[in-house]
Amino acid sequence: MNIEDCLADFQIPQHLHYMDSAATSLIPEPVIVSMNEYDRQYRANVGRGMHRLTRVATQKYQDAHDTVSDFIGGMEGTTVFTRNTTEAINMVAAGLDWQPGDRVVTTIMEHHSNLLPWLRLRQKGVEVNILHPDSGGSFDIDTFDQAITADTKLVAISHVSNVLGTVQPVREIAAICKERGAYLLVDGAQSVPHFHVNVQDLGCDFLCFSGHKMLGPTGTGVLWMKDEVISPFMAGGGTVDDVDIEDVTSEGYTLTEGYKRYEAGTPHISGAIGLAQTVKYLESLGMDTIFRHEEKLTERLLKGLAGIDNVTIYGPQDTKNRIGVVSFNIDRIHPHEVAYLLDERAAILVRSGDHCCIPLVKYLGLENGTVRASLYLYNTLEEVDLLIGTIEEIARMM
Amino acid sequence: MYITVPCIKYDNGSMVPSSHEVVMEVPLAVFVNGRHALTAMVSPAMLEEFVTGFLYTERIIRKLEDIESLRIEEQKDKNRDETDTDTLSASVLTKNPFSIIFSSKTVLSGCGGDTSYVDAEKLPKIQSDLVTEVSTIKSVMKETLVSDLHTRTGGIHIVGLFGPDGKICVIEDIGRHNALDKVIGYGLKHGVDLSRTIVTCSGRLSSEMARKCLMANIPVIASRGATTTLAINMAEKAGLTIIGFVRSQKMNIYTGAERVRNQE
Repeated sequence: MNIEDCLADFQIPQHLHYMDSAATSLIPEPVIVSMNEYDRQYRANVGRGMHRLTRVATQKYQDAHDTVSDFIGGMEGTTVFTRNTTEAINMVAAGLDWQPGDRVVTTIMEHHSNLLPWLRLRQKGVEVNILHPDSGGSFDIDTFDQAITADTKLVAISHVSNVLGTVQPVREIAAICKERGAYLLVDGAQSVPHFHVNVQDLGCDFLCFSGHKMLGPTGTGVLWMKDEVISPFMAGGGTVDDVDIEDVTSEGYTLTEGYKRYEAGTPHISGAIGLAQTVKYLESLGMDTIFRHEEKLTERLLKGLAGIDNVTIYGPQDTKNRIGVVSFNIDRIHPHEVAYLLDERAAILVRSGDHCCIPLVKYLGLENGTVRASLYLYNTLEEVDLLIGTIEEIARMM
Repeated sequence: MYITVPCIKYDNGSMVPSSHEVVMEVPLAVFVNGRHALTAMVSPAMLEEFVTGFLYTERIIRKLEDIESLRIEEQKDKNRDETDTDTLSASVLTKNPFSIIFSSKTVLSGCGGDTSYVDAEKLPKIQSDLVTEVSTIKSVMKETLVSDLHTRTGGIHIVGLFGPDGKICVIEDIGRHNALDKVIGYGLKHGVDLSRTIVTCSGRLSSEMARKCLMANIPVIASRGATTTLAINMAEKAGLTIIGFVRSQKMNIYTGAERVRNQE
């Protein structure tokens, strides 16, 4: 399938110019169909029965794990389905055996979901070291080399910033982590949807990402882990091989192996099936094709915005080491007002504000945050031109 | 594929504690679109090939791509003794899982225990212009029957698949029907044009063996052993070549002799 052909699978772009994919992407028709098919034709719980529907649903659910795992090159590890990236990161924060004096290294670039779970560990005596980038949102690898010490238990970093679009040098950081014996957690919420991500190439121990940012259903996310080193966040149905209430010397139950031990209770079954269909959809287009398409759009957008007086772009000024998440401001206009005007004047939907990155926007001195246009495979050059033209009008108006 | 077990050997009037290699047999429960399709007693190897070949020769699938998902899993039983036989299951989802209603049946491995649900009156005819040589039949049979497992256990059937370039695969199983399904499954998974192949077998060529060849459009089946009247009847109607008792200098061509040339 060509990337232009995929537009037929989305209804919203027929009416509106959706450029808020870093928050939540649109969802294509084949994914909706796959989810509806489950609810209409074989809706049943998974792993808990002998009848034909539960068998079909269970197999589809298991296959979904394999499909997603294979997509990120993660067949050697464990792929757990979660509600979103936030839940995945919290599972790691809650599941590792923390001791007072352990260190976590992270950055001020992080989304709150990859910051607050670590800050919370301070209550357990864990030291959290927060690194600061240059004004473009990039890091010198030496910064990590100095910060990751022998007592660093974990390094948590976003693969791509959800504010500035900057791609971080994860491979290099992974090499340092390996040398110092620290776990590396990568927040892939903004990378996995937009370019080919392979956990073996990255060398990470945990990769967390969301289904709803990659054309998948809301309420779906993934925690991939190299080894099952964390304790399950929750215990309950579907997580055990045996329960012995007479055994008072232990917890009284034996956890099963693999992803099941981390997915207590009835999961989001249609979501999992939809997520697998999403992966197949992305693969049918090709992640490299998607990346090149977005690169073309981003290049046009950056060039167009740079030529408008009173507009400031944040993050890398060209397409090197960045994706199509573009933050900017118009002088003397509140980002929320710009977002409102874009919607009312041209039906362009963007995000504005702090983007769940209050420490970063404070660090950049942006009291009101930014306007953020985030592009995806269903956006077109014509839409980007419309955005540039409308921003120019708004900037001129002020 | 085999386990060494203790036994008492009687030899020339005396009984001696000893041991012997015994071939493994495991039940494989196959579920298609959530429904139990069969339980086959098989040798625990190449199970994906077996299931694929079985579904193909039963016309549950028409091509490999009709299988959306195939999972082989070992059943966990916490009360199971270490020496107990594993219970295996194969779960298959087809591309359109709700278009198929599949009758339950049990396939018993071995002699004449199983029947297909495919209507015998509607079997396909062989579509192939393959012509082979007597010398080829002799050499592929010789190549088929080299089996370390058979030598050790004496309890195994061997089925081979040969193409224009020689051996494609030789597969051993406790049941020759299973082995033939595995061979056909192997061929499908490797994109083999089965209309250009010869199947060889260590055991009797029953009507079920002939039927599987018809379903897979394999034009020639040869064996070291005998055949049956029903197999010959079926082969005559459908244009299948059946060759039995292939030995060093002999063989009986029962049907489809026009496909076998003698240039020796």
